[in-house]
Amino acid sequence: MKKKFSVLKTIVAGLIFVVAINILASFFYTRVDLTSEKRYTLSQATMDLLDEIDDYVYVKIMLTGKDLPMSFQRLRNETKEMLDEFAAHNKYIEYVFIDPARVGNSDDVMAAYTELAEKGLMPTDLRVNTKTGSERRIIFPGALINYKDREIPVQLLQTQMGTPSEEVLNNSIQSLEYNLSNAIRKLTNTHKSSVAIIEGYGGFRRDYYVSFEAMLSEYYSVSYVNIDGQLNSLANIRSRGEDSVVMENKYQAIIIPGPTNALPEKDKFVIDQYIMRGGKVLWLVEPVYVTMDSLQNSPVTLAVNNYTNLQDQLYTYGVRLEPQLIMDLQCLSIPLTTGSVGGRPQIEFFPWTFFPVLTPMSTHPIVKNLNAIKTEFISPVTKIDIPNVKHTVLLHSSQYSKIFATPDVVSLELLTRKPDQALFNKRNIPVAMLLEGTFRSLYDNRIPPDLRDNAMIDFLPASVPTAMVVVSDADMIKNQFRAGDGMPLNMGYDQYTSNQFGNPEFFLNVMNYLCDDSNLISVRSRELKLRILDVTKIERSSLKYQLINLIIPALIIILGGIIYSIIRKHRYSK
Amino acid sequence: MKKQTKIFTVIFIIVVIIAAAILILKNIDDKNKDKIFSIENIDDIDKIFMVDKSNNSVLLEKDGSFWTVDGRYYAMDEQVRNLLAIVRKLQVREPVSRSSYDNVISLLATKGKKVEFYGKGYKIDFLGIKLFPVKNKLLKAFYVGESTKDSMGTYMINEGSNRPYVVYIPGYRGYVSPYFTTDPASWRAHIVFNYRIPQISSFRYIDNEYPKDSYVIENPDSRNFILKTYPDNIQVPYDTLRMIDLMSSFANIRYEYLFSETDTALVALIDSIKLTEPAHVLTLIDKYGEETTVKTYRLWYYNYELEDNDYDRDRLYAWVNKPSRFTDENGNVLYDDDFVMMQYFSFDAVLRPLHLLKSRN
Repeated sequence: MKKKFSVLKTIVAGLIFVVAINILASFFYTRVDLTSEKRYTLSQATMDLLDEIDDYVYVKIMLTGKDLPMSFQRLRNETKEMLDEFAAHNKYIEYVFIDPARVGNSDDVMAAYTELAEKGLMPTDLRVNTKTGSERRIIFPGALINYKDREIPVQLLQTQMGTPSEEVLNNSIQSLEYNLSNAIRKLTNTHKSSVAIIEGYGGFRRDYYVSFEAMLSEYYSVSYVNIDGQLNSLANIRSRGEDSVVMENKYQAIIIPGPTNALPEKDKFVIDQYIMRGGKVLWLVEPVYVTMDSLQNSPVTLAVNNYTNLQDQLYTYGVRLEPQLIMDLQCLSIPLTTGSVGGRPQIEFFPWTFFPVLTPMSTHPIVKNLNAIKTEFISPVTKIDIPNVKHTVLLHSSQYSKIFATPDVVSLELLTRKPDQALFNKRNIPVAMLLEGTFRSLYDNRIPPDLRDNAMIDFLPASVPTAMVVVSDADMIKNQFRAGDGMPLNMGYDQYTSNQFGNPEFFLNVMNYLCDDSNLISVRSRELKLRILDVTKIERSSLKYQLINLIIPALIIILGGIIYSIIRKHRYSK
Repeated sequence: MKKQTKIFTVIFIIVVIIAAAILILKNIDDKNKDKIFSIENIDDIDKIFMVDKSNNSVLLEKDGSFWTVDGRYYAMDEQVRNLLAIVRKLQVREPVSRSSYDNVISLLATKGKKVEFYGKGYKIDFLGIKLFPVKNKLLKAFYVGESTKDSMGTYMINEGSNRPYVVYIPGYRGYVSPYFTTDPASWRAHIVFNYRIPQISSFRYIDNEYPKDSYVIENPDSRNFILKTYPDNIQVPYDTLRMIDLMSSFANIRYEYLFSETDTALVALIDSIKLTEPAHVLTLIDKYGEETTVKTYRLWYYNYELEDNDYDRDRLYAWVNKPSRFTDENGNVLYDDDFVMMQYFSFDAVLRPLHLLKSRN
């Protein structure tokens, strides 16, 4: 009896001890990263960022609540682990999980949801299994980050159209570090680089890129500049003695948003010298002029060459914009009135092959894991081999593309005919290209020697290492306007299909990259291997693996018991 | 006991103690980190005490199904419910940044209001285990400060803590500090008359502007009323519908605003108004013989269009003297003596002159 009690006491004490050790261990955060891709190790860029934080960063994660699907639970756990990693690195990082569905009654919940949506978090509709069956649940797979009275949203779930949910989740987990550190950087960034939007060559009105400008303003100090032939429009000119000057770029990057008029040579010279001094440029130049506005009133419109006088300049730098249009079977659908019933217009959606939807396939950090990008009337961008210039295709059409030569008539009649897939036999036509390296000046050997050697102009025939991105569609930065009140919508949001495309992220990455924030972008290029179970293999031999998992551990224990009893027998029989 | 066993026992005890301590501290620190100012079970709250740096204080107590103010007046239930609802929803928006820490702490120290919530609690409330219920336990105590710059948050700090937070309510646009007012007048129920017809014994209406419209109504059996002129006491026939309309209007007459006695400038104004002749004097005697008297005063101002004095057509002052349902230590009913702002919109229902009540036949 006494012996039995002693055994029981030992078992209970052992259990308490194990529980206590586990409790202790759970509060002391440490881990060793044994994964091949070092998925649990922060990148140097993130660690540098965290080192600079000297005040509380408070992260409120909305990804919580009962009955969350397994995939979201995984995202939640990964987020927690990532933030634990952040907090282990900097004590000022704090986080909390909040369930917005538990703020009060249904009115309070709706008000909280509205507030979150207004703050920029996108809700996700889910069907969750409950004890009584299944119910519809709205969740916000995102977080709000506060720092010194400022707050910004972070979308943790990176939706990607046409991507399997496991891959979307994996990409979201892969992007966690980037998204969180990027948001923290946005909040803590006190110095903003200067970016200029170059105006004065036609193109669309400013209100068409309100959303683009707002997005840029979060990171950069955005100015509108009219060059007007002024040498000092893009540069600060400091005199160096009596007869020479030093010119320094005012802006880290400039954007040329869809000119429709020809640029004067003087302005081109100013831009060229800006590049030679190391300035970065985002060219949004359309070689073909055609708009949907004309098709609002007439079933046909003309696609003609858009003479911007930039072809020679871009050619010198290493690209040619072809005066053609790309038609693509992977495209956006547009609404069309097909008739009327009872005086009400009947609206149907038709795929409009002139509006390709581009799925970024490149692994370059600018476009890695980006959502699909919506475009309107895009043109091919051809690479021109130039010494010391590296070309990277950022965006290209799908494998079902076709070239539409211009000038020609673009007709809505195309919508009534099913596209012949056999004709869409061109694949992966580049539409956006990154150029990096040292560029030759357009004006090298083209200006008189006295002007070239004039120290008051400080002419540079070749550039220092720099970069530029050429995109053949300026509509990519345009925002639509809400049908009811004309309010500008988010850039990349299509109100007709209610889809949010990846346009904002693409241009943000482009600007981050051009403005030397590539250390942050490097975080994006991390690769986490997707280790998804082979569904077909599971279906074929699930029983085998279940039995292996059940029987082998039991057999090992039995075998151990047998060996132990044999040893005892052997020992005590002596 | 073997030496080995002793060592093991000591290690075992130390590990268990440390684990328990960490668990408790972590639980206190981390449990609902975003809800450190909120109280989930607001039904457990039966006493709220608020005090500011000028020593203005208010004590709200639950008395059965009612709330009282300073144990002397009925509270506006709706407002208390609002406060409790807000307390349940309070969430931490962010900790106060280090850069504004000193500023916020000094603001809380000079302008903060201390708020204490008492109610049903438990001696042991740990990891969801609740044992040994106790009454009148201090559930939460914190200081409420001013609003943040964006007016969407309120600075708060828990008592005994040195870490202030910005607190907000998800989905609510604004800050919550006004809900924690320490002015008792703001918490009091705005009741002037709250009588059903059977509870009324008589009602006297004296119109000092049109004395012929004064009258007395007697209510012997809640169905047949006696209408008499005042002061002549001549019985006159009445219009039944209008009479019932008037007598049923006493069920819910409230004032708009109570002039607080803390405002010395207002006290002087009230005294000067009280010296003037009231426009109306209403006296209602209930079935228990307790009397409610209301004297109304016009809000006079100079009308530049008329080039003459005129009175406000929306509001009027009133001095209300009514039984409070609270008694002193000798069991005598205490009377409230309040100077209030009323609206004709609600009070016109009981300002019916005699000619309106008379039978048209």
